[in-house]
Amino acid sequence: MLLDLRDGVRNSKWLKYVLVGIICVPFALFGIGSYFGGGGPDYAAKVNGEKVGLAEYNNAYQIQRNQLRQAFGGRMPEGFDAAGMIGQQAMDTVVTRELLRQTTTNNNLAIGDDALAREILTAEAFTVDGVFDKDRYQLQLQSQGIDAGQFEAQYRGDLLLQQLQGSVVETAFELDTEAELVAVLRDQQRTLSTVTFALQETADAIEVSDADIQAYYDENTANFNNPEKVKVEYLELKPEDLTSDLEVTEEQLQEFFDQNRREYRSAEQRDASHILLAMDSDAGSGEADETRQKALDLIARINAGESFEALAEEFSDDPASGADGGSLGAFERGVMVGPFEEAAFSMAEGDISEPVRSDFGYHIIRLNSIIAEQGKSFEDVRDELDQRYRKEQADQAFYEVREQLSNASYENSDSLEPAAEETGLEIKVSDWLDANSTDGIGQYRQVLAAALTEDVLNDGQNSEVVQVGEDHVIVLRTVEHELPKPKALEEVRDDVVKQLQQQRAREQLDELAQSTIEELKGGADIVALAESHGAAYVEPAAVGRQGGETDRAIVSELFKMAKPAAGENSYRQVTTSAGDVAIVVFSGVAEAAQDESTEIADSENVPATPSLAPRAGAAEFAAMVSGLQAGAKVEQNDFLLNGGGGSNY
Amino acid sequence: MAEYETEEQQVEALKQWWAENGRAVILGIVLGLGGIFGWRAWQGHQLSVAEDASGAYGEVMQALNESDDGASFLDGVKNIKSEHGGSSYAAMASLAEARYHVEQKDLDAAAAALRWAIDEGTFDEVRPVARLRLARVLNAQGKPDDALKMLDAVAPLSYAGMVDEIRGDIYLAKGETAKAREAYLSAQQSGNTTVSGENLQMKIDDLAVPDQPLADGQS
Repeated sequence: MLLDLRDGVRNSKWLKYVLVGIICVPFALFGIGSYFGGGGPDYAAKVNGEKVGLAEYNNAYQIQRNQLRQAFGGRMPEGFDAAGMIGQQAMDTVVTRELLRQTTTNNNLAIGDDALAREILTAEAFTVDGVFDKDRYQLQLQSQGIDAGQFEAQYRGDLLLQQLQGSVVETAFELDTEAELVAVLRDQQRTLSTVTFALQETADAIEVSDADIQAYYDENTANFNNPEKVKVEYLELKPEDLTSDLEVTEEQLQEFFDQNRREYRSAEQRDASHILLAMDSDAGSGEADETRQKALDLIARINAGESFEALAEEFSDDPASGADGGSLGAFERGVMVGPFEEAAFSMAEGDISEPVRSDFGYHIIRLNSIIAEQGKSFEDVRDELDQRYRKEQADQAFYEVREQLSNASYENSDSLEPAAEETGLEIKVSDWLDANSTDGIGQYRQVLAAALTEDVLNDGQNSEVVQVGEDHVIVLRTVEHELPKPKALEEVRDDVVKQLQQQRAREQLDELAQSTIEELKGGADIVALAESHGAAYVEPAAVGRQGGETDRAIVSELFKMAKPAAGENSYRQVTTSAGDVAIVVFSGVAEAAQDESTEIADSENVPATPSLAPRAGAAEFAAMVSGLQAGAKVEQNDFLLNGGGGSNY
Repeated sequence: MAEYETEEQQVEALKQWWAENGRAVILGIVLGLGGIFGWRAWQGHQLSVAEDASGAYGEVMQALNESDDGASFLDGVKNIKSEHGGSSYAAMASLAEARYHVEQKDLDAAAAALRWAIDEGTFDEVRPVARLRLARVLNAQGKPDDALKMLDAVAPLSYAGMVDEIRGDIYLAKGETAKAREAYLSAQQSGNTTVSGENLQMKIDDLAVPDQPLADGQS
């Protein structure tokens, strides 16, 4: 039949074309699914033409997200990442990483197998008491779901990036001249004298007329408002409310115990005795053979019926166990040296082992008994179980009720009744709340903000679930609302008078200070001038940046002023942090104190300037990275960033 | 392609074709395979050379960071430069050498090491870093004009903040305070300076000009 077909095809041209055509179809369409199936490109970004995989992006995304979540105390606020910030940061991370990787490749940076091995063998994550632990290594890899080859490739990549970064960061330095420049400025002292006009004294002396008061009130009514306030009805959910009356039966605990039994187990143990024939770990083969033969002789004697205990006492080089008939007692895995453990855990009860070589020499092992892995009993852990069970139930109940609350209040957005019914929570009504409230639910600023949102305030809808604390949420609706309302003049008259007086006083003092500065520049005597205005004068003294007892505003201004020419002063007018008006007189940079006896106004202990080097290195590396970014051709997979990717939630 | 009547004719044609082209085909295959294997061997060799250089560099950095053995550190650097002079690791080692000399207060040697990384080194991406550092060393050596020239050669814009800041230091050393202040202000605009923002502000404030109102909120 096949032959017929062959002849038929050979003799018929059109049949040939039909067959070829049919065969072509699957080839032509192969892969077309990816055009229609959606999902965007199969890479996260192309950096200078090289692809960065989706897996790497997803990884970075998860890490970024987990970090943020931790920063928020375990749970991310709803709608927090609406702008896709996490995705963009993850993208930046993987793109930068790829750029650095390309830099290492282009410059032929490499990590040799021995260097890689050395790093892995000393990595803290894989060592137990400072020694590399193979089991631990395997376990870590398993938990990441990768094999040793993949891990080593990753680790090699990390080391390369570290090498690149280190080549800039670790080689940074600070020059003495640079350190000195900063130190001299930081320790600089300036000679300062001040003339301070007290605001309150001046203000108290100012008379204000009723007309002035009225005018000021009219102009500044907004400053004398009662704040905007609301009354809300609300449903409040806290886990305490759910668990205080939670009844836990013995059956439930027993079931919980059965489910979690694995966590309440102790590992298998083996009880063994041994006879050690000690030998240096680097002993030559001659000595090893000799020792092994001795061990074989002893085994023969034991098998012939001699007492293991007696032989142990006589021959064992392990003094502690030898005296005790060779008994080591019971031990778990991970306690004894490798070969010993392997042997002990592969023997049957009562067996005598072949000579087993370890770093200590040859062991003859007798397995006395196997103590099977053991669970703690229910009674042993009952209290712990009870606590855990309650906590778990409480968390679960909280999330369930929270979910109900969220759904019911959203679906029936014009009343809290259905949500209250569904959740069993009680509808409560608040007092008036405003921006200054400090008790009840008014202490949470989110509550007022929620009550004043468009939907809630104007459309009479339920609010979203407002998270006011960890495991503490509220849903509310605004029932009464009062706009900011001006207070009557009588109510605020005292405040108005005070403000008016202060305003006038400040104007007066500003003018006075200005004219005083002019007089001082003209050569007037500062002491006499201060006295004549009833102002406080402080004599010239050296002041450091820490300021000592001098007002912060004055010190801050003092160190921003231009240095006066020799023998002259610079003047500036400052409002002190107490609200007084001061004239700052800067008479020049004080000579650095030569010895301790020159007591200066500024006596704080100033910490030593940290070295500039690490900062400089970091800045240089940052510049290198942004230089790479600026020069790179990067094509991002926008599909991921626009929230279409599978990686978002 | 021509049609053949019998299988014998086909075989005959094949034989003839082989007689004409066989040598060329074999030569081609040999050359091709040789090329592939040769290329891979060459790449393998390159990698192992790079790994050697990397190992040597690792030891040098360890000597610098963890021990006080200056002689063995300098020996190591010298070795890398002579054995792997064309490798990026030579430039990296040269940067490390500069740090060592700065810490030993030997600015001439530090300048020479940085110059090596710039002129002899093959690592393009670290060259601007080496230039910045050399400018700082030159300034400390009292050669402000050479230092300014060195800064002019730092091309990438991403280094602008540091370039301006170092210019400020140089002008200050020259006593040109107005130019220094301008340079510091420009550095402040760019950000990413070697000193903290607070310290840069201190440098700027110290050069305040009389009768020129200071912009508030700079600190």
